[in-house]
Amino acid sequence: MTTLGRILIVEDDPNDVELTMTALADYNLANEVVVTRDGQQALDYLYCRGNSAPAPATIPLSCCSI
Amino acid sequence: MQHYQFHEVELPVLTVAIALTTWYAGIGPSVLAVLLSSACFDYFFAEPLYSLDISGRDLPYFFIFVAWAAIVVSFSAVRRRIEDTLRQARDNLQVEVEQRRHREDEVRKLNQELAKRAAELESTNKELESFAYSVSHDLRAPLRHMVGFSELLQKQASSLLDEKSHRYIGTILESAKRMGILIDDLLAFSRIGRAETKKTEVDLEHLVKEVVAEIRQDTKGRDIAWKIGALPVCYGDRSMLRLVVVNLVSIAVKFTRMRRPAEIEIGCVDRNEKEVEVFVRDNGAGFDMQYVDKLFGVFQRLHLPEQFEGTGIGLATVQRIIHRHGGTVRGEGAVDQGATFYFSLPKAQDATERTARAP
Repeated sequence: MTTLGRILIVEDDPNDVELTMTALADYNLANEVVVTRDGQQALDYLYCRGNSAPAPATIPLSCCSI
Repeated sequence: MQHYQFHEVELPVLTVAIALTTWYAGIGPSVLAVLLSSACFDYFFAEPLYSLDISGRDLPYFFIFVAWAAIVVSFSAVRRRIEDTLRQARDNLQVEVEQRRHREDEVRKLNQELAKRAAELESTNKELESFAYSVSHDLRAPLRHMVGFSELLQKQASSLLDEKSHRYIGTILESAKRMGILIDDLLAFSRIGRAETKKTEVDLEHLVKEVVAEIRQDTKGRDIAWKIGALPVCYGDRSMLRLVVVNLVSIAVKFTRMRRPAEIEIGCVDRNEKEVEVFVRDNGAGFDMQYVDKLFGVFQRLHLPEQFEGTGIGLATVQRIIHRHGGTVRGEGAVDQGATFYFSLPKAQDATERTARAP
């Protein structure tokens, strides 16, 4: 079994985070999701500052539409 | 002591005396001086001494003396007059220069004020546009949540909700989506104001035919009689002018929905040497001329949404683009008798000349 890639979400609005998580759950995605609140945190995560987490496979970019 | 004859000394001495008097005192005193000096000379120098008698021999010299004095006086007077006139002219000139400088200062001040106003206006406009942009951008976030969570609620509680509740949620979703469309329109509208215009020569006829061909694809089931007249080449931003044509043609198509056949005519009126006026005429629902000035307002609609869909941004967009091109828009119509929308644009030739002439 291949390991599932991580998904990194960069979003400061908790409502948007919840909607995204729900949508991901709806599609039965079991990937680990990492949420950072802003660009600085995201960069910290990506450059492995302060932790040694593996790089994410996907970073969804702002593409919000109703 | 040598006795001088009157005629021996009269001219040199008196000429000097009179000239000096006239120079410093003016005509009146110098005339007096002439009289007094002639009396004096006659008294002191004319023979016999100490006598006012003038001998017959002296008479011609006396006349010469008076005439000479008169000439000197009149020359001095003329000189004085000229000097006075010149001085006055100089004073007048000085006053005029002063006034002109004053006026120039005033004009300069007014110009500066005008430039300041223009700059203020421009910055206010920019602020307003960025305000509209950020408002419409920020408004989208809560709206997205409304739609998202309403959809989630609908899904989560679908078995628990009765028909009425379903309808309520449906209405919430519908309204939120409508607001989304309105915000999108506002965003697009505010972008038109912020976008740079890249002006080139645009062949309107080619543009209109292109747009109509595209719209025909979407209206295959409809019976529309298109009539496209000869259109000129004008000067403007092609993509913006395309938006104008798309909006006007779409409006004509929309409001002629109930007509069999619908007639849509696009043509132009040669108004004057500098401008060309293009019109889009339809035989659709038309409008009441009483509300003509509302037509071009943002989100202003003269028809019920059940009759004709849309947000009411189309004509506002048209007006904004045409205004940015230095043209004007107007509409004519009557209820149930169709509508005609006109827009004017500078002619290509004229615009090129103007650009060429500009420094």
